[in-house]
This record gives sequence, structure tokens and C-alpha cells, in this order.
Amino acid sequence: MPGRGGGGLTMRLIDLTMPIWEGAGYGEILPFTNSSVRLLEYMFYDQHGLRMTRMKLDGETGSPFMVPHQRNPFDNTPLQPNPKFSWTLDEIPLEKLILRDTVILDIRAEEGHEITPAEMKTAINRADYRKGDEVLVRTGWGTRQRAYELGVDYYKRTPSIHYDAAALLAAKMDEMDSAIFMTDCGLVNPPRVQGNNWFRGDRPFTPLPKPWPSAEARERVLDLGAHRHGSPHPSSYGALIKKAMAGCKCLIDCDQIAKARVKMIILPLLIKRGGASPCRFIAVEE
Amino acid sequence: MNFIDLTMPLSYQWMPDEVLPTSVKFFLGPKNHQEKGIVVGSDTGTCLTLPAMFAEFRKTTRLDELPVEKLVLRPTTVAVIPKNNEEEITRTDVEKTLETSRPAKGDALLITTGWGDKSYRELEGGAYVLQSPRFSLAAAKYLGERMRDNDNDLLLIDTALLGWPGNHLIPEWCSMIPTPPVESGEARMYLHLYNTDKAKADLAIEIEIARLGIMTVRKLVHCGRIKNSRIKVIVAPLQIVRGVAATCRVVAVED
Repeated sequence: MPGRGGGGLTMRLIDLTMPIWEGAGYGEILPFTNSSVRLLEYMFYDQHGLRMTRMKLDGETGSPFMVPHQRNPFDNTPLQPNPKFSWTLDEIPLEKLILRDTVILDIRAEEGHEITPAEMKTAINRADYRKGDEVLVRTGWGTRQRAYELGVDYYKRTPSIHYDAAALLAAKMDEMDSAIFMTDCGLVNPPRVQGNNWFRGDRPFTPLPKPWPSAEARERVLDLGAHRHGSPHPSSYGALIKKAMAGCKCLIDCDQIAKARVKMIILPLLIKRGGASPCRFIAVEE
Repeated sequence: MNFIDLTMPLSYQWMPDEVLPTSVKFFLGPKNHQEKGIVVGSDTGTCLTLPAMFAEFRKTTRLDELPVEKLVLRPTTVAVIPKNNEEEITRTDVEKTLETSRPAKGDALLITTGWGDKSYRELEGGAYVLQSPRFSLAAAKYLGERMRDNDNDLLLIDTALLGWPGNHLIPEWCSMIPTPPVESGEARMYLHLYNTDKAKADLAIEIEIARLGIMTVRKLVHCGRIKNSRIKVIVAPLQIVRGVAATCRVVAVED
């Protein structure tokens, strides 16, 4: 779709944002990290002549933007100790979010595949990765149609990033002064880690319970002593967020990007001292 | 390139626009709270409203169908109509500002009154909403027709309201002393008794703008920091499937 340009350039704008709807899989799949989307109409076309909606969302709804101190404004403890960045949503300068040079790391991944260190290394070596670039890991998994059709299976079957591959990318991002990690995977952590003994693992729940504040989610906190996945395996997302200003997942339709590099417009909600928010992701190709 | 954030921050402690029973209280719940997450309404903070909000135009474009070019890096003409508390934007004001600013065909139009540059945190008793400058019906009709004829289908403004819902909503709601909070039992009962006829009388200006196919963004802040008369804007609403209005992030881009 051709767009407007400045200075005689023609721009192509590509929306990479996962839509928000009631019952979306990302709100149903995990016990805590995300909660259900609930849209409640309180003014109606037939009664009031207009529609107004109360929207219960989550910091990880849709395509989220999550900083290391994600639990803000209520808890300033970062997800990982000593993160490189410590901005909250309202502290991030717009220059760090708008028209950011971004390298695409192409790693085609089938469903359920965990991206290996070798695959990550190859993708980095092949890419036109420049100092200061933001990073988009593109697997081809994330599409609007697939998310609409698969529901929670979109997340159960998503490709993901093995811890060692994430650690390798985190080190490279640190070296290249990259600040924002993005991916079209549904989950960054492998489902076996993130969904340990919830929808995967030795003791998965069948049928799958509702997320927080369900009784099962509350019991899980009692069992594990905190809001955590309880897997013995390390967190891939943890490796990345320690070196990133923000981690962003569930982007969609990234295959519409034709070039190896784009500029990204990344706009989370402006939540005062917030740590995570649904976000809009627009790729700009010139 | 200069970026200016025109977005009202969403604060879990206090929002200036939670005054009328049509509002939703912005809420942020910590991880161990029963309501963990974020609650927003259709018009929380800086918000985008599509014509489809109104029943008459419900068959028109929804949020998830909007071409991204309508909202992102959209060339925008900036028009200034200075207004103070409770002042009305008249047809003469609109005529003058359009004569001066001359929006280019296809541009969005950003009208700055100065209201969004006031320190709304210091305004008491719902004054950010109740004392907001607003359009007269004649001004809105004239502006809307001019915008439609010039393919200017996006209006951005720094006021809390477009029109003044003074037939029913404000006098009836504010006659309750003390005024109940939004989302209270009283608010639910008020909306239960509120009907299409009352809404048409209260929202005549919003409906007129919608009739002309114009999307609106209200409650901008810091427009006074814009120096150029022509900018680009980025409007980034929540991507709600089949949604008709949503809170959004708005950024001005000056070359």
C-alpha cells in the first residue's frame, strides 16, 4: 500500500500490530503474565444511539511493549537483576521509539521450533546489522489470520527462542547498542518453559484453566511461592530483557516487510510510570 | 526532526476527564490484585473517535479496518483558535482560522485552543471537562463541511469536548450534589435512563461531525509546543477489533 512521503520519497507503511479482541489467545494461555481481554459495552446503539466500551486489558495484551522494570508503577523490581536500561514507559524519549532503524533477523521456524544458537548466529551474520539498530526476529509465525483461527493453540504451538540463542542475541544487542527486541513469535520463552505445568510439562491442566484471577492461578502462587513459571529451565526472555530497553512479542504480518532493514514506529500507551502496555508497531519502508 | 508528545498521560492516581457518567475510570492493577491489568474506556485520556461510534453510522470503518496511512505520518495543518474557560468556538472563529491556515487537500486538521496547555491537574471539580472550550453547532457544521469538501477527514483538538452536552447530561448529572463517581451505581442508573433522544440532543455536534465522515481526536496536550504550521501526526489507538473509539498515543512530527 503506497504511502505519503516527504522530500519526494514514497513510503510504505505496514501495520505489525496484533489486534485486541475478547477471548484472544494471548489473554487465555498463561496463568499470570497476561490476563483475559474483557470488553464490556455500557452504552448501546439500540438504547443510547451510540456505543461505549469498558476495556479490561493487560500490560501484555496484543503486541506488548515491556520494559525491564515491567511491574511498575507498583513494584520497581526488574525482571532480571541489574538491567542495562531502567526507563518506565513515560520516561522513554520519543526519539527512541519513532522511526528507529531496525534490522530484520530472518529465522524461518516451523511450529513448536525452538530457535537454536546456530540459527541465531547465522541470522545475525547474514543480516545487515548496524550499530544502534533495533532488532526484529522474524520467523513467519505471526499472522493476524493464524491468531484469529488458532486461539490458544497459537501460543501452544508458537516457535520460540532457546535460552542459549537468546543469550547469544542479548550479547550481540549489547555490543551493537540495540535497545528494542521485537519478534513475531507468540512467546519468547519456549512453551515448555513458560507454560510449565500449566499447558505443558509433567502435569499440565486439562481442561486449561482461566488465567489470573482464577482459583487455579491463585493455587499456583501458593504452590510456587510467587508469580512464576516454575520451570527448571532458564528464561530466554530474561536473558534478552537484561540487555534491552524493551521486549516486544506477538508482532504479526512481518512477512509484508520486503526489505532487510526498516524504520519502526513503536508507540505504547503513555502510562505514567508504567512498565508494560499494548503497543502499535508500524514498519516504514522507504 | 522534532517529536512532540501530544498525549495526556494515563495516571492510575488521577485522571482529569473522569467526570461524566459516560466515562470509565482508568485503572491499573498490580500483579496480585484481583483486577490485575489495565482498564480503559472508549474515551479515556487522549482518544480517537470514529463516526461508527454512533448508531446511524455503524456500518462505517472500524478501528481494525482503518488504513494505517490515515493515522501514521499524516500531513496535518495546524490552526490556532485561542479560547479560555467555557468559551465557544464560533463559526466566525472557524472562518478566520481556515482563511489563515488553508489546510491542504487531504491533510488532517489540528486545532489548538490552548486548553490542553493549561495545567489541568490544578483545575478542580471536573473543570477540565466542565469548563472546556467547545464548538457551537454552526461552527461545527461549517468546519465539518469545509473539511469534508477538502478530504480533511481527521480532526484533532486540544479540548476535552467537541460540543457541550448541556441539554441533559451535564445539568442532570451535576445537579446531584455531591456528584457521584464514574462507574458508580448512580452512574449506571443514570445511563440506564439515558436514551437515544437525550444523546442526540446532547451530542448534536459530535453526530454532525460524524455525519460528515470525520474522525476526531480529543484531549490533546502540549499543542503549544508545536512551532510549524504544517506537521505530520502519528495517531496510535488501541487496535480493537470492530472497535469504534479508543484511547491513543498522539505524536507531532516536525521536519
